[in-house]
Amino acid sequence: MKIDIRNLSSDLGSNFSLKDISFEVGAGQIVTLLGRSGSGKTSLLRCLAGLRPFSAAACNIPKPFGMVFQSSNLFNHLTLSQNIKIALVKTQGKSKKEAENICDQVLTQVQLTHRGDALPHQLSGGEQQRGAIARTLALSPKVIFYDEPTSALDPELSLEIYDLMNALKSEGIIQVVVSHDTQIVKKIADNVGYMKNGELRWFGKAQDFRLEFPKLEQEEQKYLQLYQ
Amino acid sequence: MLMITTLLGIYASGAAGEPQVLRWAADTESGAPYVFFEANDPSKMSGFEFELIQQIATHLKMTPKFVQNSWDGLIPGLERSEYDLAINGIEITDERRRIVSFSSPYYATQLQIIVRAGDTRFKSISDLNGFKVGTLAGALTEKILRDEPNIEILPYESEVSAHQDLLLKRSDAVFFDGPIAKYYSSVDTRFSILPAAGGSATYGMALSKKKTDLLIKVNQAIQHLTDSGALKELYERWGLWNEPTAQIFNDSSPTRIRPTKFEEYLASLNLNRGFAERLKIYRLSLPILLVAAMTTIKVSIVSMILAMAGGLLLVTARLWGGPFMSGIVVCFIEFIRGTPLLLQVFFMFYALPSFGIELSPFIAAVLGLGINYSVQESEIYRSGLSSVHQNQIEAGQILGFTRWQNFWFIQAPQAFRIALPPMTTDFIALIKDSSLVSVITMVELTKAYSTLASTYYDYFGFAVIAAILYILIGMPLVLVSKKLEKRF
Repeated sequence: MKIDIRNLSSDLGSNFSLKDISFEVGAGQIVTLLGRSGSGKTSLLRCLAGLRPFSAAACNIPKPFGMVFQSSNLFNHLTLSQNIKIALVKTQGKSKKEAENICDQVLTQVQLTHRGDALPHQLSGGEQQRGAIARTLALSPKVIFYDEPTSALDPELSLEIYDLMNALKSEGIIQVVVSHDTQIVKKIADNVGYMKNGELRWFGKAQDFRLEFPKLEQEEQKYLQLYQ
Repeated sequence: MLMITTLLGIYASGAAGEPQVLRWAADTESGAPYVFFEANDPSKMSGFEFELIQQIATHLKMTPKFVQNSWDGLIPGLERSEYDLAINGIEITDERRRIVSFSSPYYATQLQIIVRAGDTRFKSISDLNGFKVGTLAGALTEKILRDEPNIEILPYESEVSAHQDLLLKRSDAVFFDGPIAKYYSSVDTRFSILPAAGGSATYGMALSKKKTDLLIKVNQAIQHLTDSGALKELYERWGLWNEPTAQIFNDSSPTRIRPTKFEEYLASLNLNRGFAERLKIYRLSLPILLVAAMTTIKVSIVSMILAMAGGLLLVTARLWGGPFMSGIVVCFIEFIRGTPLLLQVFFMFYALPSFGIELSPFIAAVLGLGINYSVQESEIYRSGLSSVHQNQIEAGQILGFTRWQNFWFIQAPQAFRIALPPMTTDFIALIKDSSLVSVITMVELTKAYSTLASTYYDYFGFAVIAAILYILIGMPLVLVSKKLEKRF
């Protein structure tokens, strides 16, 4: 089980396009996509999640997959438990009882058992993000995409999310993260993809990334220094 | 086909032996002395035309049935099948003859100019040039004023308000048919009627051109009542026998009978009603107001349901129906939004029959209101839907919801919460706008109010009662909306 992307391109007619992107990620790995604003990392993530049209020579993404956004993940009008159960019942055809069991299970996993009846706006930012991860986990995903999952959180709450992501590695889930958070590379990333102008300029193991560093242009170095 | 027509003919003419129904229409709003509700008992109808119709029906062995319609709508309404004839001081003119048939004249009158007592500026119509003159909208008097080069015409729906505005100096004179001058101007010393008439008019009952059989029968009845002297006696009782009518009836005999009806009317005017008396009138009027309020409620509720369903249809077609569909919807919305509701209701009721579509007053009312408000609802829903965060929709997509599931389970409930306050406002506006349906023969709360107020010259007391009833009708809506706002 792996993500395998060959020659992915996406051009929506605007002045921005993704060009010829290829990479592979294996089970249980966390990939961080780095790059300055406008480099195309979110667009790439949206292609992978099926939210943006693209063409590719090969595109293998294990299913099912889930996605966690920066904010407003949980449906505002439903409680946390309802958020988790609605897809199980409506799209997976699970019975109410089964959904109930799965809900309890994933809430335990993200340590939110006591918050099931809360509406999203009653949850803290960290609880909302963990709740969103729980909702994704309920569908037993093989892959989870994260778009800036911690940028609305303070550093302490971000750590909670990283601990959770780390724990999910052992279940073999592939996790692809777009983030500006400098902590993420140091703490949890196995792989790093570095993007500029819609191209994947570098892809490899996290620990090798700093070796590549001197080869990059100077203004890019300034930005990437933060990730040292 | 022939058989069906024959069957329908038999059905329409009623079972043999049973008396046929003569459905006649008039406007009772400030309707004295033509057709109006009695001041002593607002559930009883009265008026010289009311009595005339009773006598005609008796002569024809038919059962009279009254249909209320606003004065402007009386003639257009003949093209529909709500009533057989209209009688309400309708002057026989060549323009109207082109559209409807008229019975032989049943009354003739001079047209009178009325000014404030002591105002000596005017002697004749031509003196009114350069001044403001009030009259009834759509009446012959209005047409005569319009033929003058420079009169500013103030068209009124009710004689009472025209007289009040004359006193308040909003106008310089009013111009009315003789019976109105007698019943509204001559009874009040603050007015004076100019001796010189501004013209004359003859009244006829208006019928659809298709009803030739009925026309012949009605004319025979009028002839009979004239010959037997019953009609003259009727006019004498109402104090309305006059020279022009004597001429058309060819009857120059002197009057013999006391104008008892006019005296009764005078007595009811001079009655200085005390508080207890007023309360009694309100109590007697309440059933009329409540029945009218029920009409308001029924029309509003059905229109609301239609507006919600229509709004939902329009907004989904616009957002997800593809460019062609959405183009059609946008045109439709702009068309409905850009034209007056009154025009739409008129169109539904009076114009559609010429395309062979005849809707009942209720259906026309709820369709008119429902379609008009569905456009507003669809815009409210659209703003609600567009306020739902994009992440919510994409989250639903990734969780595997189809587009419709996403709409029903995610977008719609969230949009509903945003849309609820403007929806409530919209529906309260609808309840109030339902007063427009009085133009298509429906007696709803506002129509009942203006009829009663003009009967008793009590615009304040009845306004308070009507206002309370409107608020009571809207109240449940407000409460439900508050409850829902808390729930969502």
